[in-house]
Amino acid sequence: MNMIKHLVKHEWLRLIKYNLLIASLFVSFIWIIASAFLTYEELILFLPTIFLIEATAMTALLIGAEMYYEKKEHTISSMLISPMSTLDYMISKVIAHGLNTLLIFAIMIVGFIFTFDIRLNVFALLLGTIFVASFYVGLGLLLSYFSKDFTSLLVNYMIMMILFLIPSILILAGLLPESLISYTQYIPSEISLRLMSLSLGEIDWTQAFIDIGITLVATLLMYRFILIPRFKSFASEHLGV
Amino acid sequence: MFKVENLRFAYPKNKEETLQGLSFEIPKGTIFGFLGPSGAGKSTTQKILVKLLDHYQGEITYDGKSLKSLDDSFYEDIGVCFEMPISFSKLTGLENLQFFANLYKNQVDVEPLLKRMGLWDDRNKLVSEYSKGMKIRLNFIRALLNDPKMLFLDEPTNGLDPMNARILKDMIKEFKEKGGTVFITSHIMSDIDELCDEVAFIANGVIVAKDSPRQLKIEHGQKKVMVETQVNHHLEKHVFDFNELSSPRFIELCQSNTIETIHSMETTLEDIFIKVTGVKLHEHD
Repeated sequence: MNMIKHLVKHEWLRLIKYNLLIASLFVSFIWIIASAFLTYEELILFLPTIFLIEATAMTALLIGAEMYYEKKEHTISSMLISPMSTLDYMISKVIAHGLNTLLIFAIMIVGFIFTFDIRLNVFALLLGTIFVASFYVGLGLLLSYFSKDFTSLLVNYMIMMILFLIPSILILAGLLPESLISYTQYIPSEISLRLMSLSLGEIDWTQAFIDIGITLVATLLMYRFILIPRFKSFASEHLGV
Repeated sequence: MFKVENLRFAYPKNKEETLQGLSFEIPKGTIFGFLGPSGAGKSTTQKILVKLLDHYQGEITYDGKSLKSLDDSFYEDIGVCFEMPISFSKLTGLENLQFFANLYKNQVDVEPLLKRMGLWDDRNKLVSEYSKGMKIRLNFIRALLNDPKMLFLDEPTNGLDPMNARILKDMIKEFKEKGGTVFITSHIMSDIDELCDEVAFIANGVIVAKDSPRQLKIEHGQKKVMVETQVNHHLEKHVFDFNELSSPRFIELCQSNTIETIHSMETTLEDIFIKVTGVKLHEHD
């Protein structure tokens, strides 16, 4: 537990020193400023999407940027030859980036409260953020495994998002039977959108539990069978020990 | 400390084995040099010994226990100094050391180490402002943070000025004197000659020679003496076998007052490297 505490503390120090926290704060302020040009109804309509982008794209890209630095500066290799376990490392990333996302949400909500008297279910937002951010931290790690540099990470992220949309596009284009439309609600982006919408309006708890269950299983499978087993070879790649 | 028996390893995408049955032992309290051209298998061997690669065949024991059976607490015992700079560039030298030190149960006071390596005054500077030599010195301190029993050093003096290289070599010797064990690779043969109790040369995944530097030099050298004389502004070289050193010709030359230099013709580790691996030193950089 002490190890995870130390790693999380250091993740935050690096988020600050490498200006990654500033970058995410900057994006949140843009959302707040943009909200001033919206009506209350429009904001309520867009808010789940704003939360979704922050919890998914921003989380995955921030973790990708951090991994890029860790690899470039070989610090990941140095951590590898310490008593820190891969699980400690992954958990600390999830906690640090989950907290970062929550901080950004807190700032945005305070900003939106000033512009509109907005009402949110904070518990539901917290619940959705924890599961969505955990999944997208994993996705960010996965992308950094397969990306040579930060630019290719961005490209790979876009490719992945397009792949998520392909089933819906094929159905709309008539290339897949319309009867499959109900299955598209289970693609990651759709599930994440529903989870990030939990804080606004009435909650369908049955659907919410199904979405949380799917996200949790997908997250655990990704960490257990891809991220953890491949971590050592990724981190020690190009290491001229 | 470490015993390696018939170590074989092949990377998943390679048909040929990178390591083809290595066997060697690193006794406790000794400095073991591991030399070879790039692609010979040095890095792979080191990665296996520090548990970064695990799908190997053969048996490796550390303190009598199978390396495969050891968990992450094994890293409490070892320190690794990489050749390339390894530090968070936007953190200070001290912040870097504090981060890595806190990964271990056992931690040393960094102040004496920073002072000895000449980094104390720059401890609060960002590492991005450090010179290459300063980063290498910081790497070495990082390897000592947990007061390890064994050190793995990869080209530790590469990029250091002679004064700092001397300090670092003295620290390696002191580490050994306190009972520490060292596994070292270096292309600087004078360092290997000075530091190592035993040296192994690896080429194409096989150990081609292994012994103490002294024994290797005796085995591969010529038992001859070369005398250089200056006669009428003309340099002359005379070579004698050891058994000719009592000959009238040698004694006469010694008494002639024309001698400028006398050298024993023992070989160097560099010559042995070239001979046993078939590669010149500069070829593998």
